[in-house]
Amino acid sequence: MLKLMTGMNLRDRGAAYWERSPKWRRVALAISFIAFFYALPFLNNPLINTPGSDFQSVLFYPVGMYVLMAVGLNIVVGKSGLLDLGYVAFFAIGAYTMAILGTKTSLNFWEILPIGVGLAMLSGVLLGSPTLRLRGDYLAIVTLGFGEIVRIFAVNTDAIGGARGIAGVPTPPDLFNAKFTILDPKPYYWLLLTFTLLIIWVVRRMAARRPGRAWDAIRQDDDVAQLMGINTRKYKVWAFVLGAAVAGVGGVIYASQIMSIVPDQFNLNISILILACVVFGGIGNLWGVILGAVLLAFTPERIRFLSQPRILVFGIALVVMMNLRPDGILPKKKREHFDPNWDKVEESGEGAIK
Amino acid sequence: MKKNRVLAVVAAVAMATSSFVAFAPSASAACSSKLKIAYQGPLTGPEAALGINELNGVKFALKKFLAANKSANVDPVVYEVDDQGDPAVAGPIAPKVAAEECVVALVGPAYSGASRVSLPIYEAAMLPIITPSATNPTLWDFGKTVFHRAVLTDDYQGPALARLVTSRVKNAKVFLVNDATDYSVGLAKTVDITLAGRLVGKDTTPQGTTDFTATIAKIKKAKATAVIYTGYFSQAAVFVKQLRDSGSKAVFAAGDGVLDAQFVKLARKAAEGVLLSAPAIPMETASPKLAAEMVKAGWTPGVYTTESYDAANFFLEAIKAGNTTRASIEKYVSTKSHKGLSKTLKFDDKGEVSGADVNGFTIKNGKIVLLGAIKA
Amino acid sequence: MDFALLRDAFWGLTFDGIALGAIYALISLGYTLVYGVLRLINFAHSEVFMIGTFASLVTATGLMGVNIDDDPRTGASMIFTLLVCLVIAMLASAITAVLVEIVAYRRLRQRGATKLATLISAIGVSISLVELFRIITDSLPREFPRIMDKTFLFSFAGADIRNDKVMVIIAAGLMMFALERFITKSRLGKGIRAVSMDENTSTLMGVNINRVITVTFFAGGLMAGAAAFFYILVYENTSFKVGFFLGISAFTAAVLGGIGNLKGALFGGFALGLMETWTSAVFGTAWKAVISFVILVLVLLIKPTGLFGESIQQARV
Repeated sequence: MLKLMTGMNLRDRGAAYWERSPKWRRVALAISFIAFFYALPFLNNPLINTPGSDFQSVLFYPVGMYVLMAVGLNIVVGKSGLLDLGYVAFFAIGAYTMAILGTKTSLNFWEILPIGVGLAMLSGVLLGSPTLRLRGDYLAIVTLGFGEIVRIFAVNTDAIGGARGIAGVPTPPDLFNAKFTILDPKPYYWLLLTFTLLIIWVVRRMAARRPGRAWDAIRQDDDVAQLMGINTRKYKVWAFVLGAAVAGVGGVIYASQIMSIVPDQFNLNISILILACVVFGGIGNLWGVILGAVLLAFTPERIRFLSQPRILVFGIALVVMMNLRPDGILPKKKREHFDPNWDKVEESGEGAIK
Repeated sequence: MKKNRVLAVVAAVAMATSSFVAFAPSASAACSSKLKIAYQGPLTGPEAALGINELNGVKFALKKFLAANKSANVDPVVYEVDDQGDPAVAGPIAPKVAAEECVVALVGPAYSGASRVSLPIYEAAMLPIITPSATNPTLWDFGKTVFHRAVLTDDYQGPALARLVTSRVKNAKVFLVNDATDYSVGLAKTVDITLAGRLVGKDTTPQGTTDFTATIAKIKKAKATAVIYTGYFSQAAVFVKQLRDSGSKAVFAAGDGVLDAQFVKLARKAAEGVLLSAPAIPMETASPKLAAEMVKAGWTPGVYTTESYDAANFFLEAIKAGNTTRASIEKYVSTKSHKGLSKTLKFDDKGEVSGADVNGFTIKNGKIVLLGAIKA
Repeated sequence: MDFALLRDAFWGLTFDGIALGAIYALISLGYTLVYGVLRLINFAHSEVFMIGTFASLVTATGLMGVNIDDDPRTGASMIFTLLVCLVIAMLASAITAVLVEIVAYRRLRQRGATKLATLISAIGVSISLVELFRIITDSLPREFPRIMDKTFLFSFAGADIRNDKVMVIIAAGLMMFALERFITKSRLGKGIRAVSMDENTSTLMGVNINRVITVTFFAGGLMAGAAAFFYILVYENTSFKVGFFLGISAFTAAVLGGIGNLKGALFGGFALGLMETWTSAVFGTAWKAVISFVILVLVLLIKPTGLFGESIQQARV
């Protein structure tokens, strides 16, 4: 019945079409696809409008931001199989770096960005090095603890604003005539979109090369990977650090848009939500993860008209979804086994029980 | 093959450009229907009681105004903005409010944290606001033009609360507790300064604390005779109950965050004798006649109803004087003065008012009773 | 950092810490039981607890007709009221736990879904229950009437020993003892231990897996329900989000003791209750949660399987 629902899995269909297409078609598709996303803020369709909150704001946060973070977390959880329940901590570190340096020094957004990312990556190393040898659930608990520690530390430390947070974070300087003001989320959205595309490109490149294969091996069986001579510790930390960097980028951009941050915004719920995006969409599968993020970020906003029960509906939807499609909407398909002649497979008699 | 290629490229380009064209650009026209007064505050969630009290004040003002000015071009329905008193909720909602062309004035936001987040947006959109209850003194920094406040700040409430306690408790030894929120820390700071030598200890109990054992141990060790808590009512109720259960007879006092009927309901016997301060005046005291009239209209006045009533009326007066745009209404309220029930609203260059009292309250026999203005 | 306070109020703080620890221990038993059998962190367990508090409340004010402003009851009437509330709280939590298993986990378990999928399902249930109660209570906290008068029984080295906390400690101890008897002596208990050791072999040996799992959730729910009643008896207050904070602490306790190990859960619960009370005296209440997490992280780094490290199958309770 499930096979009927998606026929030969939507993702495989898409992948097949892509493989079949000559270069020019691929380029055309890619361009129109990307152009569509850049044009998204101008979309004014009642079907996808978000009553109660500003559509363009929503596109930036939570939709765009969750997509970015889901892509980042996917590297850690999806590709490498490391269960991280404290991902929001890296997001917070990026945001706080922007807030503190932005308000206390005269550095601008572009100068602070690498610092924020660097600090997030450093935290990734500091957190990852001692803990990544723990297995599964224990790693989850430790990362959850780390996420909460960062938040509570921020709440209790008056030097970085305490529970009141930091306000008056400066916006990025004008870029190509685009003004970054609090009223107009569009330039922020485009900035975020550009970074997201960049990161997707980087991740795909890495996934195809040695790091990607190492992560795959680690995810499938850590012990065997070690036996095969892969330095699992190094690659695990890489994955962690890369994921942290992505969240750091998101945090810096977020703080400069919203102009004031409170530590309670960076709570466990966000870590869980991003994880849900990854699992929901299809662990490991980049497009699935993006789709999952879009759905999970967008739907509560879209059903804001339900107002009171909308989070309840969301929770129920999570349960239903996981029970019906536990592998996610677009589950991961091992690329190495993909056969461009998939529609001719039946003749070879592969897999038949003889 | 060549034909296919050309076709596909054309299709791709067409799709790309149509993305920009086919989507209707969001229009930003001037208001074509009635002018709207907005109210922002907690309308759902645990703090909703306060929001609803203030909203009713606005509704009552609007109703009376329209009854007296039948031809006014003002929407009889208040534009409600529910921020649940939470800055995280207020942030995403504010741009939408700012984009609503017909909203020309906003009473609120009710809470300091939400105000801090919303103000930069309203400032950029030139939407004038008068908050009836956000008491954090630093708010003007975030919206230098549009910010106005119809109450005294915690710079006044803090010292008043301290004086309320020291005047009623002889040789008071005071222990000060805050809950790490914006409002609480700010209020605690000003209380602290006024208490000076009378302060015997401090603690912070973040929101979500259910077990006050350690704090109470500290209070007992310091032999405090009074406890001032600058947080909100739901946690205050838990705190005061545990305090009483531990055998402590220290007087319990708090600020306007605890001034709520729910506090009495939750703390029951432990609420007896609790001292509260608020820069608000009950409508029954300010004008018994209007209070009765409001009840008849279907709304019961509560805390800060009077202040929000005054704020709404000031805006309506501006509209009546012929101002129909945000900028002109802003100019009106910034320069003129309005004789309200709670005080005369004349905003200085930082949007603050003067000439009012902080009032003291106590709880007697399960009811909140006004003690009167706290003397300087 | 106020070590002087810890020294001066030590016995009082310790007593309160033990009472709090008793509640944590009962809740963490639920986490550990389910983990031992399913290798699953039951995220929804905190809501099982929360529902127990509301069940106590509704029973007291509804069924037993106690009004909020009533004077405390005495004698037989008091004991009867308390017992009824306790039993109904335990049953309500237990039934909720079983329902959670059937709705959220069973299907995924039978299809061999990944751990992550089950985790997300658990989180979905947790979110749904919290939201449901948030809507029902209009986000407002609720108070519990005082059925038993709180008096100080005696003073011990400066500590005021209060009757309700003593009762909680004793009753919790009895519950834990009963559970231990059940796990080691009864047939179902043996089944639970068998499944936690090796699910496949257990099935082959004729153990009814579904029944064992249902019983496991039921037992964990009973303990959480008892904890819920004790909690609301002592603190006289509950809200839709009470599960979250206590759940995280109890979960930390279970891991601290060694998740999957019953004795570990008990020890972890009391240890955490004490640690939280002591550290909030020294560092201030605000840092309580951080200290607990830091301790947790340290334990996991040094001895990841927790202080007791053995699993439930060894049945060394």
